[in-house]
Amino acid sequence: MELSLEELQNLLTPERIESGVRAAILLVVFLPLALYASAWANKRVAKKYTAQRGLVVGKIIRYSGIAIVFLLVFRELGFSIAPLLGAAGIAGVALAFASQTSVSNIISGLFLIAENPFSVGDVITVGETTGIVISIDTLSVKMRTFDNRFVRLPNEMLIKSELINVTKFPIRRVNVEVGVSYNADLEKVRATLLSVAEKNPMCLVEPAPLIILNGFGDSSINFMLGIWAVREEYIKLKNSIQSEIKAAFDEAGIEIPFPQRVVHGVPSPASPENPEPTDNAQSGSS
Amino acid sequence: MIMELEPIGWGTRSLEEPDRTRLRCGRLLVEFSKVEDEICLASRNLSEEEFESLDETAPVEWTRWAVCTGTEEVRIAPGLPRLPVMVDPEDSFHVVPGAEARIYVRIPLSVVVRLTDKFDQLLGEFPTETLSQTWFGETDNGELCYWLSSRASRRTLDELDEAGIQAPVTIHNDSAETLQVSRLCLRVGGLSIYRSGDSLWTNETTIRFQGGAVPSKVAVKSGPPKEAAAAHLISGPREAGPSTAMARTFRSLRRWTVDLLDIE
Repeated sequence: MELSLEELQNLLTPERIESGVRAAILLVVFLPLALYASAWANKRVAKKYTAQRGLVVGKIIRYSGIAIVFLLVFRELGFSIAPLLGAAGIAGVALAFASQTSVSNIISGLFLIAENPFSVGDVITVGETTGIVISIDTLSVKMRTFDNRFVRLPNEMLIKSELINVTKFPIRRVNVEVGVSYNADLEKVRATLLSVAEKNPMCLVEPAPLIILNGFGDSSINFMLGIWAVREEYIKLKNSIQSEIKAAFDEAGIEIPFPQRVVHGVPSPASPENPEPTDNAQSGSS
Repeated sequence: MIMELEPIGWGTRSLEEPDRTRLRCGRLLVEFSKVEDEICLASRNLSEEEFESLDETAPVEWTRWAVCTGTEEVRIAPGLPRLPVMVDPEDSFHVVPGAEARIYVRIPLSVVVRLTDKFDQLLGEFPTETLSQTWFGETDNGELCYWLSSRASRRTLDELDEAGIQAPVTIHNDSAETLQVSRLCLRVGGLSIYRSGDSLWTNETTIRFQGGAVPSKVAVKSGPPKEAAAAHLISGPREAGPSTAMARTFRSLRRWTVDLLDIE
């Protein structure tokens, strides 16, 4: 389509040129300003609170700023904003119906950020999955499991499920279940367990180690030794204390039993092959 | 072959090739070796019997440092533990309102080895005793400390071993309640070490107990304590910080809350 000079003159009226210049100024000045304000807020909030909160505040400022700038540009160019907003509202409703899950995830994400049950770097367990949180995003939380798999958990699922933050608190208790023979001297068992805990430098002196007699098992008397460690040394303590208990029990002559079954032989009825029943036989197997 | 050991000496020490230097401080054995532009360091904590039967041909796990050409000496200094220490007096004692008590705590030292260059490069820090760790505070918020059973003597420790540093602590009870001193958190990061003859001292810590849950006012005095007024500084504080602070310092014999006892 070719425009004649007259048509062009009609189109480029001084008012329209003025509006165009104002729209260009809005785009050139206020759009970068909105992006700068977003980055600044992100940095400030991250410094004062958490990186995640900074990211969210930055995104809110960025998208709100961009939307406002474009609405102002449309107004300057002579478009009426009211129908646009109306259309946006209708489109929003349609979009919301079409993307209920996504919207739910976004809102869940906001709740997660407000509640702050975990942060990037924490170790969490959700259902059967345990891993390190590598990012908390608008729709989902990304995790890396300890065998180096990538897991994406929708935010909605995290809000609905039971979530365990393994590294929330600075110290953790290691629970060691140990069974001893019914012949064992229980006071000696307690003393040996306490001595093992005392000798391990990773085991915290306070909170003090806890020994609980858990009950009488099929083959053993069961104890639970609860010892505390700083969370960074939890696994190291869990590994070392068990081998130390075994060594200490061996040295103290305390038997850690394994399942045993006593089998009583029942005399079979007399038969030509077995004319006389034998005496009750007793045998043990391990 | 039985090893020849030297007692530890604080200050600079020249490293001559190909000699291997073995220093003893309490139960700690520190070994040095210099080969060309490399300094090797090793340490072990041994029992008295193990010291008596030390074999110099036994393999050693060296930590190797490549150093600048011409490096001929290292500086050996005593150091304090890297964490605050939780002092557990063998017998707890009480301080009545308005009274003050001065106690002396033996803190096991670390042997700190540094280069004498402008960077004061740390080569190794070897504790003479392996201290257990403990937690000061609640399970959701607190501070990791070393556990130190001590007599918390009311008199100076005259027969202090070579691996111990004497830390004088003055406790003022400014509250209206009796203070039972059964646990005392001593933040050693801000303390310096002074030498007077063969004995080592830290500067004095003053703790003003304000009552119950109120943090105590803790002040570290500069300079040697009055018991060793002529002592000279041989190690500065590990952490620079204000000489006065408000900090939780005491913990009573109250056991941990019942919820810790529940098992899953």
